[in-house]
Amino acid sequence: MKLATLLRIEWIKTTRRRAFWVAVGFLAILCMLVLGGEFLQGRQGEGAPLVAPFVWATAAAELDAMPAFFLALVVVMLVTSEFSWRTARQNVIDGLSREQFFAAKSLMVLMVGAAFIAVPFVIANGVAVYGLFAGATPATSGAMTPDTVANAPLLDLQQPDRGTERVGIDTGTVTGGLAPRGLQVDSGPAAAARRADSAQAALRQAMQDLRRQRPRPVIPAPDPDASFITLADMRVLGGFALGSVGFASMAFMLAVMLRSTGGAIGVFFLYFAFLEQVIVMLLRRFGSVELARDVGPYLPTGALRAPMDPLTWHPAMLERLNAMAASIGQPPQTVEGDPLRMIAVALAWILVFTGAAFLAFRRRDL
Amino acid sequence: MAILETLDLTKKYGRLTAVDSVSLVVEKGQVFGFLGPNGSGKTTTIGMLLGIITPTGGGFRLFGRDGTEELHAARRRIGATLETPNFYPYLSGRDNLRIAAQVKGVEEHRIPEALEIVGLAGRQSDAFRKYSLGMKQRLALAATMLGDPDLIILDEPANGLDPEGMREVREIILALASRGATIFLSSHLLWEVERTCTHVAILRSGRVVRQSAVGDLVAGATVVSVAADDGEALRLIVAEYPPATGHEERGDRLIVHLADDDAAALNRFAHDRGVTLSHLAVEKRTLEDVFIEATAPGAGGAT
Repeated sequence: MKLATLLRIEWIKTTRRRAFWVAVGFLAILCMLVLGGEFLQGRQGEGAPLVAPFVWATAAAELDAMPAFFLALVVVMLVTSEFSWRTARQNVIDGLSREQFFAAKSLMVLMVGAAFIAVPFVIANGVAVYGLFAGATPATSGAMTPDTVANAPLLDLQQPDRGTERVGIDTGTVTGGLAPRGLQVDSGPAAAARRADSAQAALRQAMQDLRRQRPRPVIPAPDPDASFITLADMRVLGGFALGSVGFASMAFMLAVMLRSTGGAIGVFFLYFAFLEQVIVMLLRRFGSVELARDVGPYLPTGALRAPMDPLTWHPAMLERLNAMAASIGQPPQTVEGDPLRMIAVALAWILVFTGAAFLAFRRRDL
Repeated sequence: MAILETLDLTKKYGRLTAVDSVSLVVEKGQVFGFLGPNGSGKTTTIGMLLGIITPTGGGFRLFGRDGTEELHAARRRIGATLETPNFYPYLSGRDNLRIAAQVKGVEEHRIPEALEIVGLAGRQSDAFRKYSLGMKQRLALAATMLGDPDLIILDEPANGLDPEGMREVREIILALASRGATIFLSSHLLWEVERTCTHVAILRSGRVVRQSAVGDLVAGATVVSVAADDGEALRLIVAEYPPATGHEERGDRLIVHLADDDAAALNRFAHDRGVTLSHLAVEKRTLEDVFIEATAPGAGGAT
């Protein structure tokens, strides 16, 4: 059977399903809130996000794994329902081999994954283009000197008219609930290793510093001629897609093995919010601190989040960030980790998850 | 060449043997009834034939072929349902058939015809979840007939239908059979099998206890109902009558199972012993009698 046929089958199953579109819509709304909030903050002079050529890289850093977790939810739903409705069984009765059914579902993960990456990408660029046409050049567009920055009024977080900040915090809370951002406030060598590894966390820290700290950093003026979508953006997008598909493949494996929506979603989030930390703790306790530090980043959460960090793929953004950091006397950030190894480790996890799912699917009665 | 042949097909779940050495032969053109009480292993057997349950032992051939790849190819000549009609509840009847057609490699322009045959053309745009049970069963029939399969396997096709729905389903099945398809259907409804099928296998606790043509199964033995003024004397006489294999009381009458079909001989036998029968009627032996005998807990083994 041709791959195109398998794809067409999954296309009908997926696109006619309301729950799929609800998830896409919900993701779009969240992206708009997060990126729109980011955009408005930029307008108020608290940073310069969503200006070319850093649009997608900024958005990817801000959205983090949030779209990936939506993707995981949808993948679980689309897979477990094939078991609860016994349609997987019927597809095999009707003539798909188990291998073909599995291949079709894997294609579905890629197809839905593409949609869930396209949505934030389009929205990020849409918001930026809107800003361009609305003439909403960030207030910081004229290269500010430390003096002017220092004299600029610093907005109080508690100030009631700061609706945008509230939006930003709210959505941050939502994504923080989904993503294991709690890891970053953890202490201990493993967490420290993770922090050091995750330049994303560094970026976030820098952003927070930008918002809260005096003296405020100099924000370089955006280049009006810069391209919206650059090669670096494509690299960031690739890393983002790799991590997202990685999370989706883990959700896929859990869905195939547990065949229950609640079970698969429960284990998925339990793992990322809790279990991996337990594993690292056990490594530290029964192995050594070094072992925990060396192995920790190779566990799924670390391994799949690593390629999602835009700074790895966007040298200009790192440069800009470091320029801002330097203007307030902070040391420059560096990106640790070999990008090729990051890709290899993430791909290896995808292979492991998909392979385990395949073996479980082939062995069990439908 | 047998269309479908199983040899000692067995499925064990832990210590429970759901299907125990089932050997069946279904020839081309038969409408084969797979009869048994609920839980006797019908669905498990069909599941193994369809490749979604892995057998513990034994084997089977479809269209004379076996081996994983060969069976997979052979299954493309089969249209089948297992247990309930399994469709995507949010898709319309037509879209569900589109998926079935894509999977089977059948041209989508065959769909309207199938919908027409099962009488769902008017409701084809409605979501499957809005269908009544009868409509769901009929959609399942439409899906199985897509691509004109050589063998149609139906698991309890009349399950949950009202008499009118059952009649419709029966007519569709017979129409499919008349087009040359071999039909294998499971049921726990005796009269359904009796009216529809040419051949039958009776399953009890995972074992095949009878297998033959429907006509042969009910022939060769007779049930007569007799009565006399002196019921006690009649009972003693029947107990002595050599061809009688058993008897039971039903009201004031005595139901006698005979190994032969000579009711006159029984009449003579009673008369010679001074009992005059006030009632003698030959009752047709139904599949139900055979079924009850075969599936009774103490009943004997295979054919």
